[in-house]
Amino acid sequence: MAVDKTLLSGSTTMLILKLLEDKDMYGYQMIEELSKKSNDTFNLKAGTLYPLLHSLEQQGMVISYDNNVDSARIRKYYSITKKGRGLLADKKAEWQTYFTAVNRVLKGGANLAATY
Amino acid sequence: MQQHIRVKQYLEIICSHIRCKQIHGDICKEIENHIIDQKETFKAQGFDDETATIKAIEQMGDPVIIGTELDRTHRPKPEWSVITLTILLLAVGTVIRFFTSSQDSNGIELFNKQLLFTMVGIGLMVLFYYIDFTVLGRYPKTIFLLLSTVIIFLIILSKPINGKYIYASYMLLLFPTSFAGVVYSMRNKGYIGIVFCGIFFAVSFIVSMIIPSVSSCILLFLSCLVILTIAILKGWFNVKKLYALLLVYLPVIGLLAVIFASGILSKRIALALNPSIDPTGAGYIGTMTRTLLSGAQFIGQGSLPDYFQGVSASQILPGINSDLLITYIIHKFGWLAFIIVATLFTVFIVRAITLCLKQKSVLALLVSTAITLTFIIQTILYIAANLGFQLFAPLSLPFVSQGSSYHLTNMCLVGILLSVYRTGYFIKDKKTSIKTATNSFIKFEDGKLIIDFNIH
Repeated sequence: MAVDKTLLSGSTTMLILKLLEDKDMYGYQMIEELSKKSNDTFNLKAGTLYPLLHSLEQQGMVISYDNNVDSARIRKYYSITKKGRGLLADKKAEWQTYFTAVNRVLKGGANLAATY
Repeated sequence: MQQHIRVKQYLEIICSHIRCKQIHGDICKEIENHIIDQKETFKAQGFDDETATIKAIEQMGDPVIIGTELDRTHRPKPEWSVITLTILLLAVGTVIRFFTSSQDSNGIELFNKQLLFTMVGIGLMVLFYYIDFTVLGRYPKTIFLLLSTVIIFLIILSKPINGKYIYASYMLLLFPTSFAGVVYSMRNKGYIGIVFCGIFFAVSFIVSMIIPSVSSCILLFLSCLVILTIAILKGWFNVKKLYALLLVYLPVIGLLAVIFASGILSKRIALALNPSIDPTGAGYIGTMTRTLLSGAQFIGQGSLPDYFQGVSASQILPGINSDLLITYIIHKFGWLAFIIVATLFTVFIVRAITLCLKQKSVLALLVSTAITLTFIIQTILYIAANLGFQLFAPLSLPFVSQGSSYHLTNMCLVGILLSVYRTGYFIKDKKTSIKTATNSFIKFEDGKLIIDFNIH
């Protein structure tokens, strides 16, 4: 199922960092993995991915290196840094708060709150 | 692999929106790889090459948006801290020279001249700020040769003043920066590469000896040694680091041992430590500097000994307007003035070193370190001399002291330094080395001569 793009954009950073938490990857691999892990829900465009990856690298959240593992071509791999892991933890907590709040509202949480 | 025309056009549109040219190659390589991966997936699904390429490009998204987004990420950022500090030091220098100018008969004229050169210097700084500093790494030998030729021509054409080719001596400040480019070009060249660096250093050192400028020799020796050490520790020559360090430091230690054993320095050191052993001869300036300093206040005009009553500081100390500005301001305004100037220089140097250490590419690291060292050594030599320790004659106090040629050279250097801080982040060392390796028909690698018939 395709979802509204705006819903995805805010959490893309979190999803990318989560992917890199397990292993180092190159750009195309990230898109593939994300699509696979989300049952084709998240179809991230390269045009969104690379500017994001490059700015994460500038902020020191990830580092990149060239490698030609599994391929004749030299690919640019990204690896999460300690700082990046910290950001991932923050993003996850932020997402949880947001997710819980949305759920509460959807389940009539506002009414529930009023009764207290 | 031949690049598909559509892919090429797609990449060109992306790059046309990215202003920082240094990053173009890297981005193209990454995006092209992505398109190829995507194309292979489509081909595996049964599409023909042409359709797969078109679909893969479609999948990428709008190239204008990608280009614009990447441009925003990779916009060169001016290093405002160093720019501000440079301007502050220029301003402090102007104020100090304004006060010292009254001490000289033609002081006002010199002050105005220096003010004009400060303006020209700012122009040069801006010019070098916008020049792509990677030329130092791309044409290191040409630049080194050009610099050496200019200096040798200046030596031949100019007449020595007090036994010294003054006009050629200013250019010596550019050698460490040029040397950084030479070291950079010796990547993976092994021990031979280190020996080559040694030869380049020797050439610049001999030129300094011809001038002759002992202080420039010290500056060259220390900065080149640090640059070479950093390159070795970074594994730049692709050899065992310990052996490489021994190859550099054993001759250095040997040379120093010979110099110390010869006793050339012992008299100089004794005089620098205690200039009063020859108060009217070689130790005169040292003695007078110390006399002025001993009478200095914390704030306010210092006093002179009784036997100098009625005599001004400039009458007993030559060079108060050029080489001994700091001694004069300590005498005139007190130690607080010195603390302010020294603090500014310390902040400048610490900030410059911090930014050097942040550089990712070896070229940016070596060039910025070379320039920072050129400033540090000049500052230390100058301040040491002004505090009465005159082991080596001061060259100049960057941005502050009188002397148009040193000033202009230092302004060019700070322009290059700011250029490194501005765009150094985008420089990738690997790309250049791969490019040169794949483009050459005959190459020499790991002791093997390789003739490549497969180049396009």
